[in-house]
Amino acid sequence: MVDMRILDGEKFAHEKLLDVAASCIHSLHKAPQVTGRVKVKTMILTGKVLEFMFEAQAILGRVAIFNILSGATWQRAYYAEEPPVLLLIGAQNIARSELNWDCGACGFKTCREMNKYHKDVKRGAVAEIMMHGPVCMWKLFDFGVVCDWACAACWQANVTNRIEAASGMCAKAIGFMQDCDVVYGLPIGPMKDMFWYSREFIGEMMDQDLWLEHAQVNYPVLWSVFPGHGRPTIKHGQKWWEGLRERTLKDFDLEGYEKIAEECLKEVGTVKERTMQFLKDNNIDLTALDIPVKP
Amino acid sequence: MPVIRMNDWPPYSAIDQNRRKCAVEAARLMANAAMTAPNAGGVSQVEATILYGMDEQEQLARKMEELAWQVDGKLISRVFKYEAVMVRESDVVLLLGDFRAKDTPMDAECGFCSGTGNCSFLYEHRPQIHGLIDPTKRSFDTLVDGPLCGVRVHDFGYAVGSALYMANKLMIDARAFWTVGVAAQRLGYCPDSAIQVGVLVAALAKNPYVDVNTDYHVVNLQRLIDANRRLYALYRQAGGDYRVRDPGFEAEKQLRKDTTQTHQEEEE
Repeated sequence: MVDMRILDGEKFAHEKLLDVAASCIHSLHKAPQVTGRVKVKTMILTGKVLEFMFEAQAILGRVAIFNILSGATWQRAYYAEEPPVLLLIGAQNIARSELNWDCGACGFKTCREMNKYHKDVKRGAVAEIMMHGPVCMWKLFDFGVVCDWACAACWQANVTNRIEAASGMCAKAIGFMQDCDVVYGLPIGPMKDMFWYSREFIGEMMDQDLWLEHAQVNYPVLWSVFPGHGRPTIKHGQKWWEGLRERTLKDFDLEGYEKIAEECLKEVGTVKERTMQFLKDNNIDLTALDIPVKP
Repeated sequence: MPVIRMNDWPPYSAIDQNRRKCAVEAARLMANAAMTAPNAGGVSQVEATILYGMDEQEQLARKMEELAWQVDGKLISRVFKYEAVMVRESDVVLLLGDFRAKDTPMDAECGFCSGTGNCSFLYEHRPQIHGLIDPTKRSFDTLVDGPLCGVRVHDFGYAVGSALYMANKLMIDARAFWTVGVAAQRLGYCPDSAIQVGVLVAALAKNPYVDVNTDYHVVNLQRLIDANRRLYALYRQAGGDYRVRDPGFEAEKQLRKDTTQTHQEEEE
C-alpha cells in the first residue's frame, strides 16, 4: 500500500534539482576525453552560502563586468525564492602537462617548457583574478568536453542552465575548489525557459539611449558618416545631421585598472574569510568528502 | 517496396555500404550538435568536414603513419600508429575545427594563454599589426600551430563534446582524436582551423576505439585476416588434382559404407 501524498509540484520539483545536478555529474565523468588525463572535481552549492558568491561577483565585476551580469541574474532567481543549484566543475591538473606530446598548441615547443613558464610567470592582481595560465591546450579542450557533457545532461533533463566562468571564478575566489586550476559554474534551474538568456534585469534597466551609447562605442562603423570630409564623425539622433558625434580614442588607464584589481582582491579576501567562518559555524568541513548540501 | 539489407561483412560490399550510410547520417547530426554547442558569446567558430570511403580513410591513416615516423621514439608515435588503424576501421570520420583559435582570439584577457591577465603571450608569438593577427602565416614546425586562444580552445571542447553527446544518444560509437585532426589539417581538411580533431564514428558490433591491444599497428583484425589469406594460399597447395583423386570424397565414401554396415548389423 502506497502512502497517500499530496505534493506541491513546483516545490517538490525544485528540491529535485539536486538530482539533476547528480545526473550532470554522472554525465561529465563519462565524457570522452582526448587526453583521458584531466582530473575533474565537482561540488554543489545551494542556499545561503550563495550569498557570499553574490558579494564576490559584485566586487570582481569591477574588473570584469560579466561577473555582475551573472550575479544580477543569480540574485533575481535567488530572491524570488527560486534559487538554482550551483554545480561547480573544476579541473585539477590542466596547468601542468605530463603528456609529453610536445605538440606546440600552447605555443611552447615542449610540455616541459610550458610547465617551467607556468611556474615562473609573474602574476599581477588582474591575472590573479582571471585564469591562471598558461595551460595545456588539450587538457583545456578536454575540460570543455567535460563541462559540455554536464550542460548536455541538464538540457536533456529539460532544466534551464548556462555554463559560466563567472560563478566558478567567484566561488573559487571565496575559498571553494582551491585545489583546482580552473573552476566553472553551472547554474541548474530555476524552472523557467531560457532563464539565463534574454535576461529579465537587462530588459528592465536598458533603455534605448543606454543601449545606443554602448552600441556606438563598440560598433561606430554602423553609424559612420561619409569619411571623405576627413572628420571622424558618427550619426546620433533622429536629426543626426544636427547632432554629429566625434569618434575619439584615448589611452586606457591600465595602472589604475591594476589598482582596482588589487582593491578587489583585498575585498574578496575578506568575503573569503567570512565565507570560511560561516562554513565553520555551520560545521561544514570542505576537506571532508561528504559535504552537506541542505538548502 | 524497396528492401534495404544491411550487414557489416564483407567490408565495403553493397550491404555494408547500406549500413555505413546510417553512420554518415549520424555524423551529420553530430556536426549539427557541434554547431549548436555552448560557447562564449554565441560566436560561430566551428567548421566541419565529413569524410568517408576506403580511399579517403586510407589517405588519412597514411598521413597519420607518416607523422608517427616524424616523432619516432616517443610514445606519441605509437599513438599515431594505433589510431591510424582505427581510422581504417571506422565507418566515417567527422572532422571538426575551430577557425578562430589562431586568427581571431576572444581577446577576453583571461590569462589562459599567458597567465598574465591579458592576451600578451599569444600576440607576442604571432605576426600581428595593432592587434590584428596576420592570417597568411600558415607554416609551423610543431604538430599544432600554437599558441592558441584558450577561450576558443575551451569552447571547441564544448563543440566536440556535443558531437560526442549526440553520438551517445544515437547509440553509435564515436571518439575524438587529436592525432586524426593533425593529419587532416595537413591534408587540407577544415582549412581555416589551426586546431582540429577527428571524431571517428562506427556502427559495428565491436566498438573499435576500446579494448585496444598493444602493438595495434601490427596486430589488428585486418592484419589477422590478411594473415589467414596469406597462409591459406600456401596451405591449399597440399591438395592434388581433385578430378583424379579426392581424399575427402574417398573418406566420405568410406563413412557411408561404414554407416550402412552398422545399420545392417543393428537390424540383424
